[in-house]
Amino acid sequence: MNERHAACRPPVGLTAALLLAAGLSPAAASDERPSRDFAVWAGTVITVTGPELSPGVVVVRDGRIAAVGGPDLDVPAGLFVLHAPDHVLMPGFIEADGSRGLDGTFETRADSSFVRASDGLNPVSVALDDARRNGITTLLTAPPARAAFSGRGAIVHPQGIAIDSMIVKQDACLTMSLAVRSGSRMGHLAQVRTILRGTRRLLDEREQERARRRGREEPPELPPEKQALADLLEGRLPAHVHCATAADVGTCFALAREHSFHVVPVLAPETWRAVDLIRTNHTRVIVGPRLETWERLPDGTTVHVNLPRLLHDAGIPFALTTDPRDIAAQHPWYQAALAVRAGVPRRAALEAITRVPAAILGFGRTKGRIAVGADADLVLLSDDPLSGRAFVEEAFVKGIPIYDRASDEKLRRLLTRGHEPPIMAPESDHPDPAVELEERRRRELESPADAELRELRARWPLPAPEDEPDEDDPADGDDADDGAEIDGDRRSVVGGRG
Amino acid sequence: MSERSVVPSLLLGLAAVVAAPPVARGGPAPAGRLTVLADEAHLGDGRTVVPARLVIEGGRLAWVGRDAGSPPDGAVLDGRGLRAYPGLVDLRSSAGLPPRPDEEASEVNPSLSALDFVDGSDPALAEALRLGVTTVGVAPGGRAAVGGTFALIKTDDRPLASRVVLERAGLVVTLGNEPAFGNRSPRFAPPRGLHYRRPGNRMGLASELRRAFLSARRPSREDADAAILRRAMGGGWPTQLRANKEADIRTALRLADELGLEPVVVEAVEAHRCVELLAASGAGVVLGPLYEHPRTGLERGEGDDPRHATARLLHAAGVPVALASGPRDRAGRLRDWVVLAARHGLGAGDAVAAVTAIPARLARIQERIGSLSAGHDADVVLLDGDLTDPTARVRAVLVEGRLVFRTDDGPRIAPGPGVVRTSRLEPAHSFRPELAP
Repeated sequence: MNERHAACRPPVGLTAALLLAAGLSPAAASDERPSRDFAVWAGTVITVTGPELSPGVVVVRDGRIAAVGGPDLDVPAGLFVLHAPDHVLMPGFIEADGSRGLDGTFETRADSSFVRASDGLNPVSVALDDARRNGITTLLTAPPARAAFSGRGAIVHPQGIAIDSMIVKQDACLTMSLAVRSGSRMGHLAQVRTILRGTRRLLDEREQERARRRGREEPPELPPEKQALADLLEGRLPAHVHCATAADVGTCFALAREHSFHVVPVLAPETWRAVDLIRTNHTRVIVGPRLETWERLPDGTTVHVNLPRLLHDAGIPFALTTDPRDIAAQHPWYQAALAVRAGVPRRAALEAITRVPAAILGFGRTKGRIAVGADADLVLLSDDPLSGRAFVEEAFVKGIPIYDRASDEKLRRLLTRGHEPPIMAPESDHPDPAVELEERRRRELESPADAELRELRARWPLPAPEDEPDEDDPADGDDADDGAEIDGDRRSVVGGRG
Repeated sequence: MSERSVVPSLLLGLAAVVAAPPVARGGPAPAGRLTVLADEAHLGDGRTVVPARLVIEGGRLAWVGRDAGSPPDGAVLDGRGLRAYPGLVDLRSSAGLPPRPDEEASEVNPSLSALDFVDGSDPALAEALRLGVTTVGVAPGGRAAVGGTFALIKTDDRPLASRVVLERAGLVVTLGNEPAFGNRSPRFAPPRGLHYRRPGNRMGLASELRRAFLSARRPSREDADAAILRRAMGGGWPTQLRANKEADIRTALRLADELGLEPVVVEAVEAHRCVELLAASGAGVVLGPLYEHPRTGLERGEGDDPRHATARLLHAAGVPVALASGPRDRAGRLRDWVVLAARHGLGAGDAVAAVTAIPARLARIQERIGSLSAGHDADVVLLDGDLTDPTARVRAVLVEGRLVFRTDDGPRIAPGPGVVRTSRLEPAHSFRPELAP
């Protein structure tokens, strides 16, 4: 894989290559903005909203997609072309709900709507680093649903180290939770209604005050801690309502009708009985990170429910989210594959991690698709996203590379033995400089997997054919001349260091 | 929105609620011969037969080989379009475990048998079956240094007694922090209770283990505990040692070497740090659960250095590597581990072997279970894709020749002339809840 990759790509990382194309040296990377004009020639291009192109060419100009087509597409002369015939190009994955980048404790007071995710965002959080590695180019991060009104979420690009360069939209949603943490459900909902009614009363009073002053002067400002709820009730902020049971879904829509605000339900799989109710309300939903549940019915049968499949069959557009702490469910393509396993068609599953979350976040036209005019938020995968083998090779946000697997030390360490190099380099066995150069070249071309294997074989050699170790007892210490090397190694390894 | 349109959509939607058909109840294996046809059969040792025919008689595989196209006699399960795999073997599963799997009465309990607490009607067993797992290992918890012996059972719906593969399949030993939980009195407080004198750290734990095993060698010991420990030291009977940190793995292998145990290291998160040692000791490794981020809470520090490459490195060094879902994860996670193992460098054939032939070998049931070959139990899983493909779904499962699970669109048995089917599947239920107004 690595050799093929090397043969097809220029021998430098993409960032450096783009900089070279822009006439700048890689050393100046931190000072100059890299060029956002390039083209990608990929083995497969999944456009999501259009047909899959095999192979396909995408032209990016100034961070936007300028052209999409087959291999005969006209690419402007002089443009750098990223040639990736074995890879799959997709729109960058989008996560419509989650708490990536927010580490630490969270507010649990019933009305914590005034807190902002952007204030708690940790740009160097592991979850954001993993987001880049897993191809998520846009995500909404909000305080987890610990309170009735948990706070405001922000839409971010997982790039850079300054919060300002990450934030796309500061206040993108208000997180609400109908799942009860303590006390009864009745008490919880009474609290929610009290808070909403209180805010509605404040807004009505303010309107009356404005009418009384007859537009001559503005009425006094709302207290700042009520601003988020005011935005909600006046339609400037949607609510992401976390529902744990089917009853919560009904309550969610009832509250939205009562108080006239826009809701996006965030569903746990136990809400499957409310699918028809969702359908009649014509709303997009968010599902995850758990997608399936098993329930034992009163008559003794067990139902195995896959919520994405139910939603798809009912014609409800759904977005899938990930679990940053789970080795498999942290990948958006894995969640899509689980949906496909249950019978959701490939297209709908891929839309659930690109186009539908983009629409939920308000970027239906500019993100989540590869089409002329859309942002160049792209992800280049090593294999088909639903194959289970895909690694993200490159990720771009508006044409700027934010992740390059070749320079990902953490992933390299996870996939290899990755021991720290010794402090004192061992004496070379080959004093001849020509041979050393040859050795070094061979090691450069060697993949990490081959290097591991070569190291292992050197330390634990297989016996030569003529000295077969004794079949009966290979570890018999009495046979001093038979496999002495092996035996001696074993004794020292087992008895000494430990 | 009208009344009329709600009902059909409800039915449509709920057709997708895979009201999992109940597994067949009781009954002997079907008389006569059953022929299974499939596009491919993965034999479990890396070999594949295309196209495949499996002949099952009396609950065992009578013949496995290429389908020459001749019309089969007897009943036929037409799985063409699907791939056949051996039933998956999950050596450390949460399916069948009761809510409290730890016996803390004493630190060394070799004669406790996990079979005594297996919950045969645990829905998790049925869930595991539907995901293709036909044999699970149920082990006592890890709060005791020697927890007892683990049992191997099949996951279908027969009475528990008739689906026990091995009542005592091996000894269960736990290293690391977990056996010391609850053994220390609070700081600065005087010693309290009977737990005070039990091991509070790894030194004490290792010494406790040595003491237990070595005292079992005394000829005066004639109790059940000593018999079990002597059996473990005598060879031919595996000892599962749960160890995550590299130091614990080294301790496990050192103890196994001193005491003459046949080691199978379980979980082994940091096994990539001592690959040569594992290869030299001949130990087997059962990996799983797999994780990427360091653990938190009680398990903090137990395996802080996970790597994706562990399965691949061990396999390259010749260490037999099996995958297991682990006592705390859902049984279905075994499928996830297979997908991830293949993704992280273990070949597709080796990933299949890691959940079929190799766990059977580590539990010493390879004569009977774990591969599709003549003489083995007829535990067959039919999938509509490759096992390492996350989108592949199980369409049918046979346990000892009986079709115990089939999806609505899965293959059916066509009875042959003169064959009376003695086990019938009940029709799949479809669930129709009350309509919400």
